[in-house]
Amino acid sequence: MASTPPRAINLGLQMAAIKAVLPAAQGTVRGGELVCTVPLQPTPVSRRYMARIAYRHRHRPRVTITDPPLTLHPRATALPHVYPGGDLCLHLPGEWKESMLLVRTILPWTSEWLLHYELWLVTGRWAGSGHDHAVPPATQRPEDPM
Amino acid sequence: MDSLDQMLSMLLDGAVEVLDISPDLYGDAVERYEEVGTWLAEHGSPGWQIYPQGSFRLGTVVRPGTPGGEYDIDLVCRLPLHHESTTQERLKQRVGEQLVAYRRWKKDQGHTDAPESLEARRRCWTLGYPGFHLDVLPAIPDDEHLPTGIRLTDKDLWEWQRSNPIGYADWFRGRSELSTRILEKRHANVADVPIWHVRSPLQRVVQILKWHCMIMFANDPDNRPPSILITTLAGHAYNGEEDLFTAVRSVLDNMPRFIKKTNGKWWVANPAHEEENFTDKWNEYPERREAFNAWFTDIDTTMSELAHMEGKGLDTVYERLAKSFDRAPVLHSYKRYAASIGAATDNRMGATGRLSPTAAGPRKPSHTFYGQHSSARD
Repeated sequence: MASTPPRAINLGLQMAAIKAVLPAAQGTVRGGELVCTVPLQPTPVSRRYMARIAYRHRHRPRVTITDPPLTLHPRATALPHVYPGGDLCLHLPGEWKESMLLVRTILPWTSEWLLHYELWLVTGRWAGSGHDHAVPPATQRPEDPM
Repeated sequence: MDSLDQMLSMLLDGAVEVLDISPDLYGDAVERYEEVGTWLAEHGSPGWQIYPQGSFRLGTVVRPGTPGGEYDIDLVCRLPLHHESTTQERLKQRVGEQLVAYRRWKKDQGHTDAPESLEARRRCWTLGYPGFHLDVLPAIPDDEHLPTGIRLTDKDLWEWQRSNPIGYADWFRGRSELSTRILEKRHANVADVPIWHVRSPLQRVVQILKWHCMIMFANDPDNRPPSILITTLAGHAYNGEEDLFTAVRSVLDNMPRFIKKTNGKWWVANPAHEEENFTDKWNEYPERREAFNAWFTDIDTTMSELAHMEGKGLDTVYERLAKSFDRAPVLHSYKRYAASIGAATDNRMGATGRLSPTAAGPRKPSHTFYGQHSSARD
């Protein structure tokens, strides 16, 4: 098993902390990698999404949504705040550190990402923090921009 | 947001708020009609009174959905005359002459806020202003229903029409104050004016029902159920619910019980004037009753479908709302919600990934959704 870098939280502890907050989470720590799937529903109206987190020390935690499939706003060509491989962009470099608990950072950020994603499907504008990802305006706008 | 009902309430409230009159336009309208009232009193018409009635007085105004749709503001212009000392025609004429004189005076003074137009309609004189018009209904006291009963003119009817808009508004306010939240606010603010800065759940319920009705009957205005009927039934059916969506559901559940059949006639009495039947027309034109039933079934179905949309997705709920209401106000509400959560920093995550300021889980530290990258990196 890979050694834990200084100040980094042990992967077993990370997994236990996730299960303490999100009892439906299922995961393993094997070969120095934490892999966990967890259902997330940001609000009572939101869908229940299955998120998969894969994390190794000295690497960024990777989060993908495995179910249901993510769709696009009618005028968008790509999802906002997603890496080309399909995992979610949840933070700027440096905002997440290995000394942080995934369950206090990456997971709430994922839930928040999902909330903004469903609103983006409606409004075409990403209202969360980060770079603007407005879709191009329709030829005939139904309303004024906010 | 902790429950589906609360979220639907927030989304509906944000949409109907767009259709409500803005505080600025409200202020303009009050200023205009108060000036008309003052001018009339100062120019040889002692005892004349102008006061608002209808949805403006009730706080249930909904902007018409037509392009450039303007707010209708109904005013009573009450002259201290006895019905045997005047006729409907003479009363209408006298009020009209005064309004013509007022408008001329405004122009002579070089005022820029003079009414743009003045025209006679069936029951009123209409003064046009930017964004709204004032419908001035000539009236005299109804000596059989003092102090607030009035008699109104109608050029198509031989008999005086009777009404009691102040009594009705008092009744409606009493029903609104079944909400303890609103009752407490009223007690904190003693000023006796019809401006209700905070809309009560009942006011919002009525606005939602009227909004839906207006859209459903956009191409069939003759059969559209009258606002006063919807408002009266909602007032009776309301039981003090504080949550808007819960209140809408409960009002719809209770509403049919308040439609009565008396001596073979459909009957919904004016709560402030028992002789007036808001469903009078149903007895003459059965299609009006059918239209009401069609409206009721549609809004009831809409609300009950929404009540079952837990976990269906915010975008799916949006499409359902947009199907029964206007798209633009619903979209506005979604944008407002998105902006509010974009700015929120106090969310916690609960056991199912639920984000809420009240969830017991870990507080979410601030972070920034990063942009799209040409290549994934650590």
